[in-house]
Amino acid sequence: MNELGNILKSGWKSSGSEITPPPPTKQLIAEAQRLNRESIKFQRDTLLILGSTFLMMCYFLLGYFKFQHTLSQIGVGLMLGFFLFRILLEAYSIQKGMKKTVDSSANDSLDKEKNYLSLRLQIHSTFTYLTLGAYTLGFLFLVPEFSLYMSRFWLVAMIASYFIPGIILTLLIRKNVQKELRELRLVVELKQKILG
Amino acid sequence: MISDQNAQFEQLYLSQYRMVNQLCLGFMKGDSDQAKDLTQEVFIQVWNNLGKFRQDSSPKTWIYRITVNTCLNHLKKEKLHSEKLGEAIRGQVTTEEIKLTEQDPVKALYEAMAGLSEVDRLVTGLLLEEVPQEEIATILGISDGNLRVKIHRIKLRLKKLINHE
Repeated sequence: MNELGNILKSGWKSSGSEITPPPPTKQLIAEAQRLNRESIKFQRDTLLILGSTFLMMCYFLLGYFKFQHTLSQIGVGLMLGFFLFRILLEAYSIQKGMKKTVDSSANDSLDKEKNYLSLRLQIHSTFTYLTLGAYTLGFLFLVPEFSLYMSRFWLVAMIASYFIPGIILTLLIRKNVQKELRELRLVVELKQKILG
Repeated sequence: MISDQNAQFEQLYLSQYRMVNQLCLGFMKGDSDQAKDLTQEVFIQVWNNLGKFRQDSSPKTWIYRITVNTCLNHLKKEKLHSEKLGEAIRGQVTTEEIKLTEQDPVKALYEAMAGLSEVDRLVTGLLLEEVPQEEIATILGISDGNLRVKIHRIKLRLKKLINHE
């Protein structure tokens, strides 16, 4: 073992002396600042897109169509309420994500990462499917009132135009959930490796 | 305020660069390009978290923690991109005996490191940096006893590198 220890120590010493001087600090700081700006911009844009979509929905569902039937009004409430709920969850998740740390112990960091991924998984699976279901139900509640002002053909076209993107969206959500599940498994596996 | 932060960062960067780069080199089994990228990632995290550094540990220990976590994050990202997820993590360590054939001590070091799992490579790097065992246990967030078992296993694994015959 001593022989091996000496080989390793001598290798470590030699490899240390072979390390080239670090690149300029300015370059690194600029890169860190750029990455920070990008990350903040991405989070802000996500919330901005979701917020704008919500406002557009409010305009069409509350201002433009002016639904008269109680069932339609329940439908509008379901659609807007659950969409807003989903936006708030996303904002909460972004805020949680910002609290992840890299300067605590490896075990603690992996624990926090595990909790964060479990939260994301819950948001992207349970809550997203719940939102999608409530949103669809809300949409179906609008159909009786729409049918009073639309021909059968346009009504079918409208329903189809809702369900086709809906199916694509469900498949995308599923893919995302599977990716996060893999990430969660990896974190658990890494944690076991640290503790094992 | 910003210039203070820059000065503090520059001081840490210049004084700890070698140590971080060397730990990353060990983790990357001697791949210097990947180790440089990983080192840059570590210092970006150092820059991002500098405001949170509370001086309750030495700057060196704080940077060790960031280095270990950044290496583990890198590993996670790498595995996510890999097709054989999970299996890749387990597949890192071979059970067959590895013989140390390299005469060059640096190459021999990385040949030996390649025979260890990623976490064990980090522990070995910290040991070779002569970080006290209690500090390594704190960096990893495990008990001293657990670390001793880990080190014992690493030693047994490394012993296989020597041909006793």
